[in-house]
Amino acid sequence: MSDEETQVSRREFVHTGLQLGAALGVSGLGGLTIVGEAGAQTKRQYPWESLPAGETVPPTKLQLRTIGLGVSVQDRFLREFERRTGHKATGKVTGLTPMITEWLAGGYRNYDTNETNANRNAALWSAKLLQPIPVDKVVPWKSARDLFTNPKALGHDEVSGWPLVEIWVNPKTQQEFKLVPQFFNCDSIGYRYDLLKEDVTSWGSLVDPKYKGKVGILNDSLLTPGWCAGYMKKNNLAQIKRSDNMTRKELDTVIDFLIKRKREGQFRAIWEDYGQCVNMLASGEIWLADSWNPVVEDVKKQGVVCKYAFPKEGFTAWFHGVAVAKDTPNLQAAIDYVNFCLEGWWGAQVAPQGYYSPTTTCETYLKASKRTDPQGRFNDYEWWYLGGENEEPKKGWPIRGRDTGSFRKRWSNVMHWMVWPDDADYYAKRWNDFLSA
Amino acid sequence: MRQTHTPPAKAPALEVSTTLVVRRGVAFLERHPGVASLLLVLPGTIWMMLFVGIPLASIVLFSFWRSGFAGLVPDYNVENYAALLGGRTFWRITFWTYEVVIIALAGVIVLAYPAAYAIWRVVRDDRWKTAVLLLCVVPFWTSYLTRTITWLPMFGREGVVNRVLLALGVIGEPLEILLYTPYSMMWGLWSLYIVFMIGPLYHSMTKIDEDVMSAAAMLGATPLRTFFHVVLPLTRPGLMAGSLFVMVLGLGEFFTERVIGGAQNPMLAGLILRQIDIFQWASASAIAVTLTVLTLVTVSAMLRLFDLRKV
Amino acid sequence: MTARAPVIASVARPLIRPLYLAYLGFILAVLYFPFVVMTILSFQGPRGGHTFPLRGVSTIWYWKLFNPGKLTPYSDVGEFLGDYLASLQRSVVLAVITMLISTALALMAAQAFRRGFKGSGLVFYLWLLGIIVPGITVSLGLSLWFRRMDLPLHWLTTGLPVHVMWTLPFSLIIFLMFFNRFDTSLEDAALILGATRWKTFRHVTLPLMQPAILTSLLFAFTLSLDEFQRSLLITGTDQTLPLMVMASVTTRITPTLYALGTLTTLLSFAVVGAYLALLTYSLRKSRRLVEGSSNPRGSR
Repeated sequence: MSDEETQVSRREFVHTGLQLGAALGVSGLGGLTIVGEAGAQTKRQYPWESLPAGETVPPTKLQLRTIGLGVSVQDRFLREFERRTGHKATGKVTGLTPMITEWLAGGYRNYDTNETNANRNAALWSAKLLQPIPVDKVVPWKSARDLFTNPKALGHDEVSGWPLVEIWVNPKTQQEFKLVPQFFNCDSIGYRYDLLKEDVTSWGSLVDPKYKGKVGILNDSLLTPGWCAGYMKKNNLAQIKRSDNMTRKELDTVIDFLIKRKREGQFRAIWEDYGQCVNMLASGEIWLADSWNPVVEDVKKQGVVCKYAFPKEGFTAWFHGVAVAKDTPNLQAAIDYVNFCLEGWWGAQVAPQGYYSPTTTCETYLKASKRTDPQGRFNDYEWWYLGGENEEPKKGWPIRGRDTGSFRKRWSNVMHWMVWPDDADYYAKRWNDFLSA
Repeated sequence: MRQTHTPPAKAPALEVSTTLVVRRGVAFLERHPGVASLLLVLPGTIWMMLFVGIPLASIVLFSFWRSGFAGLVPDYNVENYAALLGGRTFWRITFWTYEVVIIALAGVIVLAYPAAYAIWRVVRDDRWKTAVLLLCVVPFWTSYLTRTITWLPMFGREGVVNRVLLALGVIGEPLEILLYTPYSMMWGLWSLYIVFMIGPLYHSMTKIDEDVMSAAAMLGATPLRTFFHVVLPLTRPGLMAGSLFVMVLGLGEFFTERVIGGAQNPMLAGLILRQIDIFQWASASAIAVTLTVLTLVTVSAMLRLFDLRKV
Repeated sequence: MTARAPVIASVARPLIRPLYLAYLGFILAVLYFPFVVMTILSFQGPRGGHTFPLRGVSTIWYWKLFNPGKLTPYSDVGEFLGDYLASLQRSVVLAVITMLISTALALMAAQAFRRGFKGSGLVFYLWLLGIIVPGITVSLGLSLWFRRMDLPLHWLTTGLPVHVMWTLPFSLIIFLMFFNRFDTSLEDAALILGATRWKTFRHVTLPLMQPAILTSLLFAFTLSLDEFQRSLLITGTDQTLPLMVMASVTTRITPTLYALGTLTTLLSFAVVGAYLALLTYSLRKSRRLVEGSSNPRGSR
């Protein structure tokens, strides 16, 4: 166990919600009274805290209307939120672009919260559609990981100031959130080990002629040139200062390189959606792709030997957060929702997809369950956060623990964060050149 | 005349006058068909003005603005158009888009014509005709996205088609041409648009008088001659309507190219989405306006060949 | 004309019919091929994906379809548990209203276009813009406009205008196509005999237009059911089916979609079958009426 993690687990806020609720119930600080099915009464300090199974909080007059990706806006999460808080919860699932565009075009009035990628959230913030959330309203933030509070933390990028710069109104004082982090991860390459028969250790594999016609890449004008730039920079193939925010000249070099590869037939398909990438990998249509950790987990679940690469150039990091609409009539529900997402249960729920939670509160939940390890040796916390690294490979399954190892190992190897480049328009223009080449 | 001077009870008067107004109104409209036409076309036109006219007008306006990070800035310039029309990529994509749409249209006509003809001449019972036509439509009641998702299990490396061909020994290794290529995109478009052609074609065929057909046969015309000299000219309205549909839908196509075409050969409408992805609403609007103008020019050129509106 | 041509024709004639029928069968087979695959894969085992191979056989995807939001021992986090049936219901309601409004408005306008009026060219192209202006920009422009009007977004109230806007040009073109080469002699006869224009329309034109009306209804219904580009930004929280399917693609795609596709297709067959039965019944009834009137005593 790393120092950081031991330290965190000692913190007093890391109890199960149930224990916390019971403890606070004794002190009885203006707690809510819940009438459960069994007639038992539990006092809790906050409505978003965990609630014994079978109990339901009576409905309030507030509601929560949220919008986001299918990853975070899940019916099961919203129902649990309803059960705990009594606020009626509805969620719209859509794509990244539509959800920001809908808000910018005036749809924000229909919603209380937006669960979005940090790099696009800046658009909502600068359009003044969001309200800052005071840090003391977000109770579980006391167990936040350093990455989101400390500029010296592992994985923090000093040049871009990410992730702090997109979280805080003022990253120095850290008093108000622009966006409350919800879940985060870093991307690399998913590959079919059974077909490749070797490990992928570099982003270069995606442009390696050895895999001509077997590669899928994401149709994204910002992300795909981003990793390619990182690859070229770290291998001294091009002079690039910042792979996350390139100048026009640097971008030209990268796109020209990609166009050359495309003309040679390197790319089998350019994928659009999460589901599409899962399918193409699972069906062997492509053998490797720039992909996301959950994609790989989903492919594995279909019984296919798929692995997630640990690229020597580093991962590309991102985080999603919850933003609160400027003039929401349900401010309290929105704040309860933010707390609910960080309370621990939520973070524990998304961990088996490969996502990390920005607070350490999920540990108690994860430590109590043992659903992932096929041999039943490691609990879910040891598997998803510590990487289950000491395990011997299971027969016929060449994956030892979680691919790419522990949280610490992964975050000590970050290439760049997915920031919004200064010249996004030029990125798009050049990406079109690439697509139509 | 006399009666008008005696004031009748209030309620009946109102009744009389409303019927009178209606009757007079109807009579007026009968006498002035121009006004009647105007009233008939007005509701739909207002609808279109509100829900296409206004958005389009605003898009035209935006295309001369500038995109800020968080929305549009009313800072008039022609930079969006200059950047768009000045780039080689735009012209390459435009050219490609037309290439795709014209091939798609030709393919759809070739595929749909015999099908429509078969329904008209070969299927005998009227009920069966209706049944077959409806059968052609039913697949389109399942979401297009769901249908495109089945392309991977059908045409992928491990898909049904490849498996069957491999099992039959026709091919040695899986064909990759079936998916994520310009060809697969073409097949996708054909299967997508065929119903828009069969419907109108069949429709205009049913209006060909049976007497004309038997007259042609009696005069000794071969079926081929009958087809070229009688059927084809008489089905021009259907052909034109179907072609309009396919043309317009094809020029606005972006999804098939992405999902079945593997996104390696973008079409014009896809460019718009790419701009919206990075919040470049102004340049997205410029592309939209350009595409609208191109489509309008294309449609009016087609209508010059054969004007549907003429009676 | 040589003598040989008719000979060939007469030899080929017995072949033509089966040939055409085979071709028709081929087209239908192509159209239904995805549905065969869909149906097979909808019985995918609980651990399988939405491509081949089949990993066992189960009906769990149908269960999931009817139990949205419920977890099973096989549910994975991240699996899309949305209520497809509710959104299907919304889509069908929207499509039915859309087809009625669209057909009515287009029918009225087509009457005007037949007669011709000042500025008809301009109006015609205005209508056509509905299918010409790229969908996503209409959605963007409209959502900005709705915001200015302070209209709350809802799949029916703000969705309907967009759906009708999209289907209207199709309906109009269908009616124009119908009126092109329309035989006006019956109408003229009615007018000469002193019927008003309204009566002529009601009793002569309208019955003649029945096939065009049906086609317009069918087109509008089909187009509306599948619309997603234009409604993407203006439907609010509750989504129509195509948008729901789009949303599900942002997570893992499961065979639940196939279960839905299979069921809706079967349902469609049932509707088509019922329609045909009704048609047969009404045909038989009218035939009996005709027989009855020609033979006042009744044949049996």
